[in-house]
Amino acid sequence: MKAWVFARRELRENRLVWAGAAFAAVVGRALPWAKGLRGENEVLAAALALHLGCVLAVAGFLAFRGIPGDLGERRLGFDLAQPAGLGALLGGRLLGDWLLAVGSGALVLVPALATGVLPWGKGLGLMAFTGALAAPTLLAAHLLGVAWRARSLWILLDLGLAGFLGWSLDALLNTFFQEAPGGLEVLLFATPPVLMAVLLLAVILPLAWGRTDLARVRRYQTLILTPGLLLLPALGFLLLVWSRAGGPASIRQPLRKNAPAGAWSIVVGPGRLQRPLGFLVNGATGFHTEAPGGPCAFSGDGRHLLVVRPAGEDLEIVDLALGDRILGSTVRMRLPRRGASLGLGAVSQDARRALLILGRALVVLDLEAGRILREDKGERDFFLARYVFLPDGSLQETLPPAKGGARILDPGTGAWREADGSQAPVPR
Amino acid sequence: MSAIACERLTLGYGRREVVVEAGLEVPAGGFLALLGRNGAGKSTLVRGLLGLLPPIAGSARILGLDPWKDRAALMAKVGVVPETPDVPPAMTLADASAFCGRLRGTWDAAGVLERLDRMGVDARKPFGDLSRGQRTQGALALALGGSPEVLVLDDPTQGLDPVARRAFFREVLGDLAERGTTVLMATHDLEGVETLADRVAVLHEGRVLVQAPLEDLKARFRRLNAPAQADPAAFAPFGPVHLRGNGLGLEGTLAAFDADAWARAGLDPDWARGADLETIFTAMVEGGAE
Repeated sequence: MKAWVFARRELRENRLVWAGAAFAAVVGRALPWAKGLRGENEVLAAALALHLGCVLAVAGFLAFRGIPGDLGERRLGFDLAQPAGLGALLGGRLLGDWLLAVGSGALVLVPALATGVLPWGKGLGLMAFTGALAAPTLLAAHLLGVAWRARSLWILLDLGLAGFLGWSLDALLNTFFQEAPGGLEVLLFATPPVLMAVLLLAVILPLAWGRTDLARVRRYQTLILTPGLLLLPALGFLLLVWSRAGGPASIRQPLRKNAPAGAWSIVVGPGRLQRPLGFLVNGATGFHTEAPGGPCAFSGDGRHLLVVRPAGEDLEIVDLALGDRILGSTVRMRLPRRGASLGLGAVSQDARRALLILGRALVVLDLEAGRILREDKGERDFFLARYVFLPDGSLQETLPPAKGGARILDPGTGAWREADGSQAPVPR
Repeated sequence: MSAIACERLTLGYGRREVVVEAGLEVPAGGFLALLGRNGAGKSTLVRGLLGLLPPIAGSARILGLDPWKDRAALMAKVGVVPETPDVPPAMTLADASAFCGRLRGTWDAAGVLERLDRMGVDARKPFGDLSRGQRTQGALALALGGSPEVLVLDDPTQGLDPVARRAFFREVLGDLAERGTTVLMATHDLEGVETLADRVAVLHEGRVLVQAPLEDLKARFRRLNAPAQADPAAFAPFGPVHLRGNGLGLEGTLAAFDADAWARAGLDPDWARGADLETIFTAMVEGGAE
């Protein structure tokens, strides 16, 4: 297959990328040991940032300097003198560049995967995501490369349109947030494939029409990009008009997160995309107020709302027990692991203790004292339903059937002990 | 059938027309030297003939194929030596040969290496590390590797030293003698191409001034070297170009020489001597001779 011949050459020609990626992997591994950067999360954050940066930088660089570079010199391109169609030539080179970008990104992740900082499942998911992201990056960088070398002022129009696209999508998403949250998903799912199709057409068709005539290629690119980039806001606008006109119920359905028990729920309300605020609503009384910002979750009994403040550092617990009144934040404390994935297990009835999953650790917080009561690391999955706070504030874990029985976390000592059977589990 | 033919072919970049209504014809096995000053449009015409530039108007055919529509199929039969050889710099010529071989049905890898060896070019050295002359020789070896029916060369000897230039022409000549390849060479190297070309086309300001067999041109053009007392008006029927007296005699070029008419006019045959290609080209481009 001729495309593969070009891809292989691209891989071979740019083999130094692997050395760069290996170096980045070593740096990523060594960086967290620098002063002030210690801990599992720092390692993970460094690896993820390097992975993303590596994939995008390699894809952008290779596509920017690739084919447009050859054409820009206005030489008789070595590749174009071969008996291969433009599809094979362009597809092969882009495939080679894509493999380089994704492969070097994977290499950067190897230390994190090998040391267990990043689970393989999540690592593969991340690579799939960045792999998908690398494709439009390649195409956009290719277009930018042509525009740059053609020295055409049409690039201003393209950049203006790209800015308009960003602005209009932001505005549309916010409007959908407020008025038709169900349509948000339609817009979010439709945008990537439409954008990808526009980029593909803007790369392939102009080359087929203009080949080494960069001025012509550039003109055709603008002719394709202009309606293409305007298509998305237009589709979004039509979707909005449709939803306002009655549209299907799925589009108009509000986004709602209900408490497992009780009448409280969070409904997405007005606010910009970057600061998605919602309403905290009591479904029984109709009382509502602006929900606290940041990721939040209800306790198992629906009585408390735990909120991570936008900076991702502070945990706040809100008592919802009094129906129409919000008691406000009863406790605030600094999260022990900044940026780690957060899962809320349970909150004690007196709201003095909370059970969280932070990253891969089970953490019991003494909210009143603002300290960690117990931290059990190493397990990948926790079955949260096994944990329940007893009325006295101690935490009970029902052990797996293989072991049988239960154990109690003593709130005073922070140590586990076997349950003696006198303490009956309290329904959550 | 003509191996290369184009009719009223107009080419350009964007809205700028560089070659206007060009007409060319090269029979199979012929060697056309495409001459022109810098910026005359030679490279653009070559690009158009290779399907690298879309025609604004007119048509072109190489081996019966439309270069724009059938470029991939055509390139299997055409060898190209560009003005600036652009094999990827990190590739060795041996790798480039293997690469080309994978894309073509017919490829003489051993022949390429043999030719490179004969020209003294290291096939294991990265292309970017080769000298200007070695790159051109490498590009020629690659262009001939697919046993092309048509060879297109865009000013290949520019910047080559005399030895490399001679070796280059020897290879082209060898291939011509061996397989009768049709050649189109855009060049400034009039001396080098004079012994090889059987047809000449002169491109000036985007237009083909003339296209004719070299022998016809040589028969038509003469270098004039007459004594000072000769009457300049006597040369008027013979298309005098750049006629000037220098005290010792009259010098210039005759663009419409006719031996019979010359004899009938009673002019001395020794005054009109054979013109080389450079003289013919200069007379056409500078003097407006056609």
